[in-house]
Amino acid sequence: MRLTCFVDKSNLRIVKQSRSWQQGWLRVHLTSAELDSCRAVPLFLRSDGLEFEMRRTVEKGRSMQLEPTGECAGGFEDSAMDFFAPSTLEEALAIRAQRPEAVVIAGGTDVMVAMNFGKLRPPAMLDISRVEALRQWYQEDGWFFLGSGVTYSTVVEQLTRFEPLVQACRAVGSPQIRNTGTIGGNVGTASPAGDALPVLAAYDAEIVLASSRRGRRSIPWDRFLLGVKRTDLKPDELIVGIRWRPTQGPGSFSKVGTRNAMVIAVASLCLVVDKASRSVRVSLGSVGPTVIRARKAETFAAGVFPWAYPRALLSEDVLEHFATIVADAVRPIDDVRGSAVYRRQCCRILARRALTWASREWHGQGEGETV
Amino acid sequence: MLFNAKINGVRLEADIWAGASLLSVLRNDLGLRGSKNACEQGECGSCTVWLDDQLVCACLVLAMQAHGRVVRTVEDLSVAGQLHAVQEAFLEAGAVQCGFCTPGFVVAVVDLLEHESHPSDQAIREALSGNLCRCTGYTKILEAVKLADARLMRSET
Repeated sequence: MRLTCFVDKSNLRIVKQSRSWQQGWLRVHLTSAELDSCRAVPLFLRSDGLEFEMRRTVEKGRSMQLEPTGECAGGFEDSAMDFFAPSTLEEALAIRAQRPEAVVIAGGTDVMVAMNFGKLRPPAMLDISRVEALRQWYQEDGWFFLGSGVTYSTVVEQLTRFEPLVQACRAVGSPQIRNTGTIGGNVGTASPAGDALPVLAAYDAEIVLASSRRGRRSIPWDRFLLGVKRTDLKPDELIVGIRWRPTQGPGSFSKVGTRNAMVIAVASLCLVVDKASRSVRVSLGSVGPTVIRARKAETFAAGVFPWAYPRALLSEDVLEHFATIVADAVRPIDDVRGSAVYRRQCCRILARRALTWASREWHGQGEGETV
Repeated sequence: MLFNAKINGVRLEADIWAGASLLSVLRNDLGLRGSKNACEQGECGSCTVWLDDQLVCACLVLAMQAHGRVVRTVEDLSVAGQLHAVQEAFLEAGAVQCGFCTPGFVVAVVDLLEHESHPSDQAIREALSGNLCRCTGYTKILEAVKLADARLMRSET
């Protein structure tokens, strides 16, 4: 099959006509001069005689292996791929054990982006979106269990008792994304900016994993999330769900971004007050390789929180100090979404607001009673 | 790999690559080109369709995930050459300029109005937050939603 390729920029010439078609991968040759003149080069690929058109964007910097080989491997058609769509968890775990190289897909909102851009061409895919057991939630022995396949939309609509989690899930992407994206995907992708992650951290959540050989294990979130997109998931394991001991008291999730929707957090913060343990938990997203708990600030907040005096409001000094020690706890970096300095400032403001909201809510709830 | 789904009320079949997105199967294998292919990463909403009555980006659904399920696309909206009230409203309000984002917007608006009548500005904005339009500046789109809402209410009563 012969393919022609052209670059959709009137000021750019077609670079080279040479290309080879092998094993389902198209190689497009571009010179670096071409790449210097724009950030992203849209490539239109068209096959002779066949009605077929597809667009790939080659990003500069990312370069899709364009440099130094000068080749772009934008796989865009059939490469042999096995597909499994089990309907039970047992079946899914058996396939996972037999085919650890299979890419697991649930909501698809991360996996499909990589597929569409030719960055992912796994020999097999394991679709777990049909496994009913992963879409459940229930209360058991003081734990609340949330199945990994529960979508953000479902959390927003049905799990309203977990307000910070609802707020975080509502901040994810768009209605379309929330309808398919799952909590398990958020955990499994382990992006520093995963919106649900600060909430799960503030809940002291555990990640429930299963394998066909070793059965189930449940580990604290901070032993599962190990780094930027790095987790403790074993090759034969699936994320079955997340569990936590429900807290009682006010809490919130807030996020800074350029829009209210479709935005990757510049910084995010979750604050949860637990009446029973008289603790305040503060976690932050997008300001470190994984979620960060501001432990020092938590101790401070627990010490000054008006547990017994719900009508008392927190003083300016207290709020300021709290904001400062929260901001001290984060380890932000400069990147395209914001500078480290800006991110730290965001944390400071989010922290102050969250504690103010929590004390006000406590004030409202606790009116007239001594706790 | 055999793909089979009920699309716009009709059971359709195609021999597809296991890694293909629902969008590419709709467009390239089934000839349903109403859903547009723009960003392929769920940012723009121009490929919005219904999968089992849920609004999704067809580019982010692995086609095989839709196997055996029910898909509804923008092509389902007009009946016998008669445009859907939302499509009419988009034309009348001038909410269509280059038109590329329109199918996605129309589907998202139909979904909104099927779930909620008289949506507030805020509700409309949130419902359409996953759809990008680079021409209209959105004002005309908001007007179209209100126009369609009024028409749909009238036709129901």
